[in-house]
Amino acid sequence: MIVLFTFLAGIGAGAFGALLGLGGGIFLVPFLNIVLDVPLEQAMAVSLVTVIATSNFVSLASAGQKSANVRLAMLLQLIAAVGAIAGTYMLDYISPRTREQIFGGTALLVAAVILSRLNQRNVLPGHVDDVGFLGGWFQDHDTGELVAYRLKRVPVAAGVAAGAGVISTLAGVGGGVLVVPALNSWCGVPMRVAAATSAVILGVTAIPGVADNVARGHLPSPVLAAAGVLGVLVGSRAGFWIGPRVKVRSLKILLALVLSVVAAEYLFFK
Amino acid sequence: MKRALRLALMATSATLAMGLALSLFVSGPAAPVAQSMLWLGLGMLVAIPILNVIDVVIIECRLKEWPFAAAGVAVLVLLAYTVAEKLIK
Repeated sequence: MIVLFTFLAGIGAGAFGALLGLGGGIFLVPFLNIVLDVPLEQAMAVSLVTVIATSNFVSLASAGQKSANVRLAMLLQLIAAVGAIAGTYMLDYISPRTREQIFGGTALLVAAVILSRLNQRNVLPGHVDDVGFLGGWFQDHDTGELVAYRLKRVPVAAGVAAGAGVISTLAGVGGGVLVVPALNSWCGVPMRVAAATSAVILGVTAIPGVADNVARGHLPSPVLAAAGVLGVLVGSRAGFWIGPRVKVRSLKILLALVLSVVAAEYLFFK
Repeated sequence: MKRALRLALMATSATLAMGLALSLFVSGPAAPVAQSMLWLGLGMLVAIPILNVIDVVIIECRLKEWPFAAAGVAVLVLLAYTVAEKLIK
């Protein structure tokens, strides 16, 4: 029965993950840990594996739509991977409760930033030729037009990517929970591009954490991870189909709401 | 390459689904086979983002965009070092 519930939770996590550019781990970890009573370390290990599944699906699907900024993803991947590797060493020194509090506080801060910048679209007219360093163009589903965007505050993007790498390993989530809002709210990247780019980054960021979990024996049986992965792949397909059919404003409100729930969960209910 | 990666993801899903079905519904001598299939499927899953980075590195090399190609190579080196270090330890 636990395998079936993990599969169903994976569907939900995959759908939200694909929709919001997150790995889906922020939904799966509390579900496995609190509802199914899976030990936290194992829940985080399973979650990290499913994050890779979401990333694989979304990055391959968004490659067809050309919504991900691959070069930006490559640079942020490098920084996030360094953060994730640093996180594997920090695990020896930071208590689980401290990890939860750090994550909860960060999620709350980011939710507030998103809500304060709800109407910001970060797009320029499509005929703009100079999109600057790491900017780009994409087809806006809301208007059906080709729009351009410029990347702003590159050091902020780099810093957030490093933080996302650390959080990914410490909290067993993808790190998209930080990357998507930061790219969208502070760095001038439109929501859909931020979500697709984040998905590309997450798969690589999760690998050091998965290797570390296997080494520490936190993934004793692959059964739950497999059930979660299969659920996530089904859910990601659903999320990717729903994505273009909802407005960006709704997506932002949903993301802020999810982050608030996650923050409350980590700060007060654990 | 993207098409190959999509096929790899489908093969991963099939391997995991078969392994999961075997582990849930078959016992006895088939149990180790089921476990092996599940680990193989998870290994394939982890390999896909790495292959994706290799794909980007090849594209950037063709375009002679060396800084981006170098970034991709650096990602691969970091991942190889970490996975080897964690799993060998």
